[in-house]
Amino acid sequence: MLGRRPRYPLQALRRRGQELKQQVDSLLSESRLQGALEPNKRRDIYQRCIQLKQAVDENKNTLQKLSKADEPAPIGNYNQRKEEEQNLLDKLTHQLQELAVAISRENITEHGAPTEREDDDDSAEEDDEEEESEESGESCGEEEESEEGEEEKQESESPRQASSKEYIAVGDFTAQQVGDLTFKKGEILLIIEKNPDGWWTAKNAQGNEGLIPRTYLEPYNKEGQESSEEGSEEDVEVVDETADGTEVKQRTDSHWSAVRKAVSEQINTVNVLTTMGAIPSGFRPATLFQLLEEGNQFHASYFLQPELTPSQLAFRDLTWDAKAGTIRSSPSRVSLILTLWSCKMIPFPGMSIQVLSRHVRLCLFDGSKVLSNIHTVRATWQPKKPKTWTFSPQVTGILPCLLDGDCFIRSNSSSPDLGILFELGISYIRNPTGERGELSCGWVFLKLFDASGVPIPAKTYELFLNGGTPYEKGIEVDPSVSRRAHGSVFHQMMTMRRQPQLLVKLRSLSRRSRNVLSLLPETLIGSMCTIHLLIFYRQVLGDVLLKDRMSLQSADLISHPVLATFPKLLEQPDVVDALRSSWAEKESTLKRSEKRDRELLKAAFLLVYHDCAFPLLHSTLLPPFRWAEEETEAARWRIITDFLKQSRDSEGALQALLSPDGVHEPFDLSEQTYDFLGEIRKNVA
Amino acid sequence: MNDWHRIFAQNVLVPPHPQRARQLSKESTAFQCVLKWLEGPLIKQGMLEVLSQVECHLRVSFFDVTYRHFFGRTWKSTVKPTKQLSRQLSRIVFNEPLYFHTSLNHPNIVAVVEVVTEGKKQDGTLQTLSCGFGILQIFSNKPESPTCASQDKRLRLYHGTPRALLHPLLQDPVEQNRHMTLIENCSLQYSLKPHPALEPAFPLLPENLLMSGLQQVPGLLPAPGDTGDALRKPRLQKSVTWYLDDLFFTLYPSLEKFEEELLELLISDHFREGGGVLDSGALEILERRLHVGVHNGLGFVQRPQVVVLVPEMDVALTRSASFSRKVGSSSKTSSGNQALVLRSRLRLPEMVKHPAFAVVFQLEYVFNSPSGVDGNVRTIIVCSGFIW
Repeated sequence: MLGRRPRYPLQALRRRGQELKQQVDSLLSESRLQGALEPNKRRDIYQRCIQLKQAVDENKNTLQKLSKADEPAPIGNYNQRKEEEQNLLDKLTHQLQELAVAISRENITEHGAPTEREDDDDSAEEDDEEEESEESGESCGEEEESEEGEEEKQESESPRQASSKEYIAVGDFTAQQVGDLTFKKGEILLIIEKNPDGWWTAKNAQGNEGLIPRTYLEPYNKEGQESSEEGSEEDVEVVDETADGTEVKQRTDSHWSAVRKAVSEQINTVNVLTTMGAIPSGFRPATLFQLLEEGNQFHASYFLQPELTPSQLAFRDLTWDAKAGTIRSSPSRVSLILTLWSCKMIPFPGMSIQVLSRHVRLCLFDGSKVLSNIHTVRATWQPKKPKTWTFSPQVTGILPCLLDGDCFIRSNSSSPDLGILFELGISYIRNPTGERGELSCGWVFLKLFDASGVPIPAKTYELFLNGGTPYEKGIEVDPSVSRRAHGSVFHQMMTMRRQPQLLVKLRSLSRRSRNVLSLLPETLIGSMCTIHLLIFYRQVLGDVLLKDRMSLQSADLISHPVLATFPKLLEQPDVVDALRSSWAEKESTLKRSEKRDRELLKAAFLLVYHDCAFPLLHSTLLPPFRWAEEETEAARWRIITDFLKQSRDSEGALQALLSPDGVHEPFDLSEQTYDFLGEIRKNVA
Repeated sequence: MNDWHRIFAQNVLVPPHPQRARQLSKESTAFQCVLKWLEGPLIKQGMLEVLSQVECHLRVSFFDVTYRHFFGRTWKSTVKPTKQLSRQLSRIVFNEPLYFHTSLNHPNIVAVVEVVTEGKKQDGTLQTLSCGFGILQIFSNKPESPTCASQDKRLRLYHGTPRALLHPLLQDPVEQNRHMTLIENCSLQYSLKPHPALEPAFPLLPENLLMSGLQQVPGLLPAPGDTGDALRKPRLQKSVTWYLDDLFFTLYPSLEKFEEELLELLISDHFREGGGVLDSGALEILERRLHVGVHNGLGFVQRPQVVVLVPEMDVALTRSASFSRKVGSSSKTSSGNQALVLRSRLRLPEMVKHPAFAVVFQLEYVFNSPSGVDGNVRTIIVCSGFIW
């Protein structure tokens, strides 16, 4: 997923430079006109000013990285042109900085910092929403670019940090390319230039210059190593929708104790990474990932199984509606749809870690216990915006359910502290050692009910992430980008915008979608795009368990391929996608009257299931599903696509199941036996 | 886990399709099926290069063609080495007798035989692969003449996997589907004949359970000599008669509390299912029944007996003082905690001295519910105890 360069990079950059110049000019003239404009107008100018500065900075960075070799055709006076462009951009930066400082100074004199800060937060939020809706592509990604520049400025201003151009190496580094500088752990390096791509120009004690990865560095204080201990003073609370009200204590009955052992085993690796500077100190081994690894009790397949009533004689969330001839819909306390928008300012791990997957795991949580399955949505990420994660990308064909940012959430927990826990995670492989693991890059808790038990409104929430595990409090994801507020409003605003954050939207439900959701199990989180499949499964389950069972006391095994395999299917999102696309194809061939016939639809679904999901689940060709392994994922998808194509050409899967060339695993009746008492969900509440 | 549990867990059977089972139950017929040998180039070319130490076994499962429904339990033969010396005609000899009895006398009830090879891959892991399957007719459409029944037959094998039989588009007659292709020159030699000698062992063998003569059936004596086939002429182990006296149940935390709670829970279930609110007096206990049966791990040896239990209080007055004392001391109950007692003595004549034999108790509550709701609510509470 490399960002593609334009065909004539320099030309493109110059064009962009001209655009920027025009924008800056118009902004300048506007600000000159304004004189003593009202504050909101001024703030608007200020906002634009910052955005423009970011855009300019990004252009500058791209320009710096550009070399003559990038051009498809030779260009005369290449270097001169490049320099001209550089000068133009420098000038723009300068103008913007002056303007911003001027405006912010006026703001302070008028309002005083604290109120203004709040305003800024709000406006930042609004602004972000605007950006989202406009899809104005650039804005989010460029913030962090400018940040680096910002950091630089901050450092030159503050006298204490003036000396901190000296950095100490926290690990050994050997040059990988011409121009890199080799250094040893403990060596003091003088930073000459901080490039935003993470490769800084540095000079060592011998006077050699070269590029070095910033992640190997820590600021060097001659007085002592206290630089990372900045946490205490900076506890300025921001608009934070987090678990403030709930206890986040290390309780023995919480799931934390279960994870602790596994986490502490991993913690060594993570400690090494943190000291090396490869990851920010707020990163931890991922808690929800650990829980997922410990058997199936937090998997969707488990929560899909019906639960018994306290009498153990009837199903709690699966009842028969004799009038309608199908399962009864059951409302639950929480029934909502949530959209993951994006994550911003997520610190970027260093070079020694290769990121295999970026994702958000979410579950229902009450401050100590996980109360639902843990649902995972993989983020889309682009190298040109390394700190931004987005969801539900535009794709041709169907959107893979793993990437779908729209989730349904159902819960009947009566806990007053009920909320959604989001944990951002990266699956990584450590380059030198080949170790694999998953790190949490921050978490946030969105409480679903306020103190008086009223559900929180459906709107977009900008959630600031906490570092550490969900059982720790007051830890920042990356202390180097702290929440500390000092200096001018410009800085404060920049600090806010530099906080790692997650944007989610709670949607208000239409009557129709509420009805659809109430056919699902009482407690489940899943992707919206699989909801119709889950409902088919529930209907089949209802038919078998409630309608066709010999007697309601019968606990016999049930021979049913769909019921026995469907929960396993949920563990393999790519096969789910195969089923979705096959079903979509089938559905498009149905007439409108047929779509109203529930039994016909169910039969059609069973046919599609047998044509696609069932053979795939038993395929010998398909390598086992492994999380975040690109080769396996690609190989599986190739096989799945081939299979789907073949079964389309030969009108169903019979050909594949019976052909002389097929290779099959042996059949055993137990593979399609549904033991509902064995699978039943233990009451969590 | 004791022996009974282990054997029970291994032998849980999938019942036939509910629709099929609803049809009248006829007399069960016993069969002996001998899987003799497998002939032909079974193993696909190319597989031998990948796998080493290739072995082979057969699997048999019951299938109901009408309802596309597998039932019973998949039976696996012993594993035989394959000598793939000449690729043309190889013969793998099994000669394994397989016994079962079933009352589902219908031509659409078949046994599906699958040939399975297993071998080691280069990295040492075991790989098992399906090498085709055959559909073995148990009941034919026409009345069978006894002579042809005892003859050896050849079962033709098809390419693919038995999973295809579940596909909704595979219509009966399955064999004529255009996708079904025979494996050339490949067949399984077998014989299938009624086996009335098995009838005395019916109590020990549940219906539709496939058993090899080499497998142990709790309650049967091992075969004499070294044939090893215990089911060819089954000999029953000597049974002893057991008596159960003074049987009583104490329920947690007390009988009154237990029954009170049970009623409450049933009322709330009723409400949840949309049956409207029942007031607490509407549901009452009519009877407490006990089902008692001897179970050999595979099934109940005889139909469980059903007896009525009564709360101790109702009995105490009519009983001798010594009995009440005994109950009191052994259960360590306070005066407020009643037991459910059985007034009569239980006779269990089919007990056998074998670790897999157990006595299974099942406590059943019978309720009456107000008219207008659906008659009787029957509830079974399974509390199994095992005595060896």
